[in-house]
Amino acid sequence: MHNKQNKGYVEKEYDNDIIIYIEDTFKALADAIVPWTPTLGKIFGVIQSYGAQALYTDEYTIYSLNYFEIPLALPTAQMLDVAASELMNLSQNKQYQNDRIYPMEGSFAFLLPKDRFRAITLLEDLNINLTQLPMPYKNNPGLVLSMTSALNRFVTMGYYSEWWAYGTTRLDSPNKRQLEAFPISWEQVDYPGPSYGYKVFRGYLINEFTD
Amino acid sequence: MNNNVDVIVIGAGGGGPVIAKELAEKDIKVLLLEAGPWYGNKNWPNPNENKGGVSSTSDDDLSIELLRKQFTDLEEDMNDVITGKFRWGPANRNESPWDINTPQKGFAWQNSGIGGTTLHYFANSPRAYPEAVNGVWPISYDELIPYYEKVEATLPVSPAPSTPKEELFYYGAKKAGWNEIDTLNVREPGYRPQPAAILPPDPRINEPGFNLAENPVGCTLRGHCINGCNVGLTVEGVAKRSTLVSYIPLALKTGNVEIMPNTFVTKVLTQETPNNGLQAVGVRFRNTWTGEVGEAHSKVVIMAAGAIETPRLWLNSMLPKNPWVGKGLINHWFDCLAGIYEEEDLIRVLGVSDIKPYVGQNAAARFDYPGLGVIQIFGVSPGLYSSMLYSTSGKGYHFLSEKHYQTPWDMEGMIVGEQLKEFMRYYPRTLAVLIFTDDEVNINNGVTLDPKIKDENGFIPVVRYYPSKKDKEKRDKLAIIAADIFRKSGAKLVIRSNWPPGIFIHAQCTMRMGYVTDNNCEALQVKRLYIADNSVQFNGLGGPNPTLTTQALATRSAEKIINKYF
Repeated sequence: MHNKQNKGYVEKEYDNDIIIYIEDTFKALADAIVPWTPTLGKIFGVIQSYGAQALYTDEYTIYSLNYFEIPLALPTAQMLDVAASELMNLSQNKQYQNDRIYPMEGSFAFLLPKDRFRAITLLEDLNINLTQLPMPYKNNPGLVLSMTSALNRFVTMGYYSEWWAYGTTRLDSPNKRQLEAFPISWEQVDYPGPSYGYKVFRGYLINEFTD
Repeated sequence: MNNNVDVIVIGAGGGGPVIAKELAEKDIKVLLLEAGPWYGNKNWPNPNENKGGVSSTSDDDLSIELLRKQFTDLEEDMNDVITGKFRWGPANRNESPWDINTPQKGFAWQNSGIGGTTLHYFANSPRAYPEAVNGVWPISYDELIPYYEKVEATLPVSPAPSTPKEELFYYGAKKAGWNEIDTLNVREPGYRPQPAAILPPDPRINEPGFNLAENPVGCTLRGHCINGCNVGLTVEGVAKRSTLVSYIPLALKTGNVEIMPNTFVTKVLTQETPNNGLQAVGVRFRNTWTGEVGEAHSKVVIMAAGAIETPRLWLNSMLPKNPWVGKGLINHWFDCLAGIYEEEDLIRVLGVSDIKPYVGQNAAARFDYPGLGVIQIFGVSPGLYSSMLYSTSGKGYHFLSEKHYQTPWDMEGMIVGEQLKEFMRYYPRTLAVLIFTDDEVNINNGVTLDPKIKDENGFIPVVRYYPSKKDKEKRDKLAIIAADIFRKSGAKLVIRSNWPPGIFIHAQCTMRMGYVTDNNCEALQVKRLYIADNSVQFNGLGGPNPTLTTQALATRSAEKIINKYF
């Protein structure tokens, strides 16, 4: 169902290595927030294993960031990398997750999931040299704060809403999308989806307000 | 378009349609301009895809069939802050949202569109606390009461019905020692059903043979208030009473109102007069589909663009300097807490094993505490629920924070990783509350213009808000009370999100009565210019949700305008 699509949601003019860099960075972010959880899967059924990568939540995050007047996915990825480098300079990271070489010297995606949050925390606390950040974040603490505080919301909104179920139409214009499936995340949380209503009326605590 | 009318109203959100309807019923010709799209109107069958018509003047144009198609109940489709139908942006969803600079942790959650932010509000319609108005505002609480009553009858407002989540909250509040209260004029702390602008459910709703799909009259407890309710036989009969379905149809029925969506007002036009000084004479606007610019003229102009855009428009229009324009922003500094319950505890209290946050009205029970603020339960669909509860904090990630012993909550901050998925598995057994703090007016908080960044509508707004020490104390007290209510009702785990101050949902007071306007909401420095949105409120009402008070003030201002100018 979910065929890989054109990379227009990243930015049409980017080279392939930049596209891979952006995708890997946001995969690392989304995967840290909503990971693959085989342990939950073993206990509660395989449906509970799936995480943000399986539901393309990284694509949702990139798509959202690139919807602003200035496309923000690339500078945001670079900002996460600056934070990751700073974390390593401070020797606050525990270890590297893997040794993949990233074309843009990406380091955020190298970090263990817990260290990714430590890196984001450096940004949230503005414990970072703001001159090192790419535009429009460079020397712009307000934007750094408002954007980093939004990253978690982007990921959970993308993951737990219906977005993944738009399937092959998920990266189309919002008016052209069609639901093709029932969201896995809704199954995980036992949300039945929109309904005409529920027969659970239990009366009124009071029938009328007094003045 | 009729570009010579009696009154122009800027903005069709919580306040604009109210004042438009009140004026039009007295035979005054009104032009109502709105920046965003119009859902459920035959002149715009595809409001997000093409520009459609120019204006609508008749309630014959309204279509429940279109509204049902357009309000899909899907939370990302409706409520995504960047591409959703209910976002702050142009109708064309292929375009970027409009920018609001909030240079701190947080964001401004507001809508464009006929109905404005009432499209996704919870329809909570409490009055101000009398003690927050009496002896504080330039007008008395008693003076507001007849206008409250008129709005409550028009919307209409009534006590919200209970489903398991409300019963659980009432049970906990009672066990925690609080009193049940049944008044609209709250003077003592206590818990009560939400005064809801939602039509009550059909009393037969629970009968096995009752078909919810075929009987869409009144609330069907389906939990989509925030995603734009579409339950009703007609647009004006829709259960949740956003102004889209309440005041807008009433305004159209007068035959005296023309409404133009997709029209962003970029300037208030004024003229210097020999006898009355500066006065408003009209507006300049821009079509958000075509970019075409136009002007309209009137005897009176009413700003009702909201607590961020109204001061922005004042400043972009270069209206006279006033130290309080844009300042004094109240934000109710929100917080959010959740309690997670075990099945057996819920069965013991409620007789059922879960409370299903997506069932029932989105916010149907509340706890009021004059002097501190409000605790209000809420339950929404899982994307919004997880992002509000577990992904929003001024305190960082829970797992990275040092354990503070003896906090009344078990956890504080953002929840991520396997723990997030585990907690979301408990979604059907999670009760959540929002806190609205009775925060203080501070002239250093508010809306200014970005000195450099401009969009097609002018310099963009910059919104800043920092709470006081006292605000923090009040919010913490409410969080402690909320945690206690959770414990008393049997919650096994209590989580405090601890929201950052910069989340703008109840923005108010940026064009305060007595400072920017007179007691009748007419601008002190520009005659014939009135304000009819949350910005004109004098303070945060003590914590209660602001919409009803804005609607009462708009009703009152309509009377004052008629007496003075017509």
